Amino acid sequence: MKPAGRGQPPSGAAAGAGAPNAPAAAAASPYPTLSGSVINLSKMREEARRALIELLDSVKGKKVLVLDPKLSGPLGQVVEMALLKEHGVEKIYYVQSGRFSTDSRTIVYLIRPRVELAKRIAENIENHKNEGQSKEYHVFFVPRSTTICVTLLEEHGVDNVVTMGEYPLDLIPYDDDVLSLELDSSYRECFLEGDRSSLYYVARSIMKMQASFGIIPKITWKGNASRLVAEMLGRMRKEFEHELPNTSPDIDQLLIIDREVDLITPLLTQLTYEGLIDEIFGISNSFVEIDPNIIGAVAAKKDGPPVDPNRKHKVPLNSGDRVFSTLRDLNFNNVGPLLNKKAREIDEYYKQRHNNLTPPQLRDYMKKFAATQQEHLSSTTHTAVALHIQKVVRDPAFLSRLEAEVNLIGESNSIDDYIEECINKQEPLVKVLRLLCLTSLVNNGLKVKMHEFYRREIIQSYGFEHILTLDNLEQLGLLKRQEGKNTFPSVRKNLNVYSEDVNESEPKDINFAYSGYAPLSIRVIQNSFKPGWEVRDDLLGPQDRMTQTLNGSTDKLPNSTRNNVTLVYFVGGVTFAEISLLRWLSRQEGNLYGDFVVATTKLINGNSFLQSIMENMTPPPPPVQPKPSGKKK
Amino acid sequence: MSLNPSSDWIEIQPGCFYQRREPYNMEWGAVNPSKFRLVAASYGGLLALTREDRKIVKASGAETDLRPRIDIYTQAGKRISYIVWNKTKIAGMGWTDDEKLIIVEATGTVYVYSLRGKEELQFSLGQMARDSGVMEAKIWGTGLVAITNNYDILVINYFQNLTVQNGKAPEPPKARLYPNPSLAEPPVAWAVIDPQYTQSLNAEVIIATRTTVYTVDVADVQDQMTGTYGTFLVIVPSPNGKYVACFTEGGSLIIFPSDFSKKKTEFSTEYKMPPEQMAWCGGDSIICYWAKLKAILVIRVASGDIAKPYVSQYEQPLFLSSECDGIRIITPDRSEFIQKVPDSNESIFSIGSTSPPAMLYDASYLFERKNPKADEMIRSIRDMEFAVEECLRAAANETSPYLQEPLLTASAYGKTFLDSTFDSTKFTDMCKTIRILNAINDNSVGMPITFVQYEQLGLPNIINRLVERHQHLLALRISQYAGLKQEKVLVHWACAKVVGSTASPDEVLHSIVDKLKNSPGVSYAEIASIAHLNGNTDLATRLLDYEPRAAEQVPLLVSMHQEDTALIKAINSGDTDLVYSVVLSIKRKCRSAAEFLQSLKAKPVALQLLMSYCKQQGDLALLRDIQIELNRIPEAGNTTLIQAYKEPELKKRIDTLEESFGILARNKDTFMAKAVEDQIKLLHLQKDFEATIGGEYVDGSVSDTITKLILAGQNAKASKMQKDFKVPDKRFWWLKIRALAATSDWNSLDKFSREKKPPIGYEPFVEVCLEFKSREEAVRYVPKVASPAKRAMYYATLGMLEEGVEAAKLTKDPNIFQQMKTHFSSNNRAKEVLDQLTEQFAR
Repeated sequence: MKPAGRGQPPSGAAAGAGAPNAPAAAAASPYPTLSGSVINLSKMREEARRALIELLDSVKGKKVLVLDPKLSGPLGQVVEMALLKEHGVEKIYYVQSGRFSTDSRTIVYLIRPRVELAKRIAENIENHKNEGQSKEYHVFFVPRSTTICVTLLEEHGVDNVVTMGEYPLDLIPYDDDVLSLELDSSYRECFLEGDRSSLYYVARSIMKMQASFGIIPKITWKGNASRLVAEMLGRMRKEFEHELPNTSPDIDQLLIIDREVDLITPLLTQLTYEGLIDEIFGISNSFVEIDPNIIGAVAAKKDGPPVDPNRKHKVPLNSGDRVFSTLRDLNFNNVGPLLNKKAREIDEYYKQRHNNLTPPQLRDYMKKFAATQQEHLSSTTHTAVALHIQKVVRDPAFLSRLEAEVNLIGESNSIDDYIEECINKQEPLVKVLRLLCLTSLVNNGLKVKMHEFYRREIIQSYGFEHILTLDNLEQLGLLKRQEGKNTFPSVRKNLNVYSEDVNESEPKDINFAYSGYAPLSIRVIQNSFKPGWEVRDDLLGPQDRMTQTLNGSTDKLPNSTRNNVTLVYFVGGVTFAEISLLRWLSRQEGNLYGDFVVATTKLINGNSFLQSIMENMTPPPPPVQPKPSGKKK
Repeated sequence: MSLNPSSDWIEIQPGCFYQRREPYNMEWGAVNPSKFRLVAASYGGLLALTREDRKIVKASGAETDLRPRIDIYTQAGKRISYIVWNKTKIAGMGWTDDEKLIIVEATGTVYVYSLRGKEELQFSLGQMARDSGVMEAKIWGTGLVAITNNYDILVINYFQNLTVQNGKAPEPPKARLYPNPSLAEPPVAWAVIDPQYTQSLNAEVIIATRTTVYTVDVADVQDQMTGTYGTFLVIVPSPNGKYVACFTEGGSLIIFPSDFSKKKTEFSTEYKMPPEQMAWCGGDSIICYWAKLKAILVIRVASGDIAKPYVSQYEQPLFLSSECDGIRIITPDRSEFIQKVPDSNESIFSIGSTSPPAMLYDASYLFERKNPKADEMIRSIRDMEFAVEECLRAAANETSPYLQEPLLTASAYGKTFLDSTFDSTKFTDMCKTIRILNAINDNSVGMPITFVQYEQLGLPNIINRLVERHQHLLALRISQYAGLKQEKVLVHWACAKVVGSTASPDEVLHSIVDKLKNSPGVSYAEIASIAHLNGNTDLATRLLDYEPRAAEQVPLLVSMHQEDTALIKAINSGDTDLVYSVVLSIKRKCRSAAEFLQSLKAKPVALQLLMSYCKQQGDLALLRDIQIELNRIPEAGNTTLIQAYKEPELKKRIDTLEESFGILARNKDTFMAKAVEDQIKLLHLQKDFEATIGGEYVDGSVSDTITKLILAGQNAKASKMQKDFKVPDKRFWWLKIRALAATSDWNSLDKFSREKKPPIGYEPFVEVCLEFKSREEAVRYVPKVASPAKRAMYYATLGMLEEGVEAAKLTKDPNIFQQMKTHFSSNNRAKEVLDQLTEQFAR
């Protein structure tokens, strides 16, 4: 744990939620309203909030809350700091090892059931015992307690002073159409370590959704992990039959697709606005932190309170922000013109007050005032962000990377020279690995000589401690030696995966989010809606479909006045660009697909995806990089 | 006139009416209750009878079994079961609220029997009770008090759970020792106030000695100083715990509040002998019984002074049992219930009543007979809602359908005059309740219960009582009818079947599965646990197969020592936590690691989890042992690598790496082994460099090391590294020129660029110069760059328009001029020039 955590509330969303720290961030609502959702997601958020409050109230009196650092962001989506205070939480800490000093007599731990964290809690308690401090301990596991953690507390002999409980938080609404379990390492655990816990959590979360929104009549799945989830759903249906409602379903279809079906997409660079924000700045729990020197001028202009010049601006990214929601799904090249248009509109609006307005006009003007002001702030923020992104994407380094990606995906041309140069320039390892894995996936592996070569190059350049990362990638089939027939060309052809003909401003197909590449995952989803769809194993994995009979009378057919609703569950993670493409699909004229709601184990991009697989052996030495000496010629 | 029950009312005091409820005729063939010790469960519950030691009975000759026995009957005198009592003296006997029979033996052992006469649990009250023996014990709905022969008071306030759950025997309750009032002789009388009615929620024990009364609480003893009233021979607390009725040696009946603060009322019975039985009838009157008088005295104490008691003759011996709203009187051939007429019924049926419900009742009667007066009457009712609700209540209070019907009709009639704010479910719910009451009040069920008792006990408890009595069908129908969950009833039925049936396991299984197949929420695991406890493991296993919830199935299988099956079920469920729980319990059972692994060998999912568990726990040694045992050599090698990198000391790290090399060398793919070998070599070299050159080398990569060597001017060593580690020329050149640029060693960089034609071209030279901020040096290398496009862009970056344009012209590509423009954003002339050129080349 970082020393900053000791004695100080964490800077995570849960703690920061009460007070957005920048005027720009204060402009839009920091959390999605969920009012635009096709199913009642606010019900889910309410339920999660209620359960958390109940849990806090079950512990009498004032208390301190000690959090799993990884829960801070997700919890921030559910509850605000002020509400925690109302329910007796005096302070929030992160779980730390060894001694934990607090004046409070009552400590509430809220953690994922991870052994490492349970160990820390045991250490805290043992320390208090040795110091003769008597305190009340409550440990709540999210979403449930596990035998391992409970056994660990028992083995440390602290279970008799601890009250244990569960906080069944699973899918958290991140937007009107996005839900996430926020399990960081689900792909790694499931496919590398053979620990299928996350699949069980996925199945359980679907059962919970069915309990709220009715039995989903149709389940389509694609991929081996999806098959396991579907099988579990079948069993759980029998187990929990009596808990399922017999109301007519709000969701018409569940489509489960796992990351193994399409490993290519997350490795490519996303070119939608939201995708690029994620690639360049990194989006964490629907917020992005922007350097003040990028956005600072914006904040300074407004007559807000003085801002710490070193503090990053936290910008909420959700559909509650009308400006952002019109931009997020577009290819970045459309963002500039749209922002300009917006700026003109806002300008026009402000100019109106110089006209002599009649009273009804004035009333109309005032009615729009607050909203326009908010849009103004938001568009100023996004203009600053977009300008920075523009700088990045016009940089030759970025362009050569894109060129390399297109070469690979479109023509299977070798990009070995480019990768080698990246290594020689000591570019970030994760970038090199993204390109290497892509090469391997597109070519069904690397030639023996190159395989050997790259592995040695990486170890010699980035250090021996990455050797297990390479081994992990190999085991997962992301970076392997060539063997057997390469199937990618036929997949590319059959699924029309690449086309040079991209219309970025008025797209005709889903290839605008990745410069000509149409993600395999989305193609698979599109295909599942086609009439000729059949049960089979193809190059991308097995697929099947089952129907679930509804409880009660069979005449409770879905309400025909609304669009069909499909819940797409990406097991192992989904990128923002993929979500954007699903939104685009359902916005098309003569919409074949109805509405989509996306659920996933984790919102990812190529970097976070690969980082979850990387193995960092200690001691990690800092790579020696000659730094500019600062001396001028 | 309408049907009126008031003619059967007894006016025990002017204006105060009592009634007898329809009695049961006892089926027990003239058992004389006076010859027995008899205890009755509250709420019309069961009776338990045993022969009193001190009461002599003539052997009838017909009975051959003379061993002491405890018989269990319903209120209708139907025998359900019996217990053969082959133990020592009984110190106390009583029923709990859920109809478990508690028997306290004089030795201090407590026995818990089901109503079927099966011993379910026994436990001791502790050493004190064992040592001195229990003199007497009293049992109430949730607990017991025992007084030892040393006058120590032992209390169990709440039994909690006395039944087997999920195959686990209940935790025996522990008795608490109350403070001792230092008695010198046995108490004259004593009683217990139910903990639910005391302030501390602990039972209070009231003990009468010759001179005073003590109230003993969990915390202290309080002397109530009642000496002036004389010795109390009988003490009986009221059913609601508010009052205590005391019979004095002078023949007076005195009522105190239960804290003895102030005498409430006193009445002289004029009998010196204490009554054989004294009991409360509800909360407002006392009934005393003297066998000699062949009569009971009903003494109403609710309001102020006690006037004349009411006397009722009983030729036969009888037994009294209090209820919250009345009293049961059990005689050899009848069981009847006496209560004060409920207020609703009194206000409707008392002669000449003009209360709204009475008016409604009469109006409804007239309406039924098409009498127009009904209308007038209806209009005169001011509070119709009250009238409707009272008629409903009155209907529920009556036992006879002949009276229920007109009352319900009246209520329904009145309801039509109410607006929509009236909650009609009140009416339908009450009708349901009445039907249920009628069903369980039936002779064949023998659960005579009033509406008030029904509400206090609650339907779920009533259903529990029914299933315990094996009235499963009725219980099921009532659950269905009332919309309650039926699973519990079904499971109980199945459990009873498992225990009681003499059929073959096959038949039992089939009959159970057949009955339960349409009830998805049923817990087969619970049924199986009963079968297991009953010693029928085979049936248990087969029943468990029907349990859809793995989380229920698996723990039971583990406790049945069927870990293998448990593991398979756990794995199939996909619930990894269940798998862990089985794996850990197997681990606990196995004597050696090898045995443990052997038992998991065929279960890859479990093994995988075990390994992930080791990783999480940081138990790498065990992890490696497992991997080696399973012949997963590469993985074992990797684990050793992780171990090596946990070693802070270099020497140990190298040793562990050697070990890892040893393991990995067995592998087909030689890459890993080779990499480890190289790393060992590198670490040795780095150690040497640190010793000979100085600085930090250890743990850097090969590239880092070469860079450092160049920075330290150790070019020869750097070149040797290149050769030894087969570093490609390209990378070596990059490393070298960056290192030189970083130290601004421009001369060496220049020299190096001339050594031979760079394998990486000249672009990197330009780039490193730019990176390390030397435009001058950069300019030197631009002309050598092969690609004219790149040359053009570099010149543009350096602000050299003319040179750039020259290079760009060679490309003949109009786009290049536009790209160059971005570097001249503040130079309008340059922009113009570039735009012109773009146009020129575009043509």
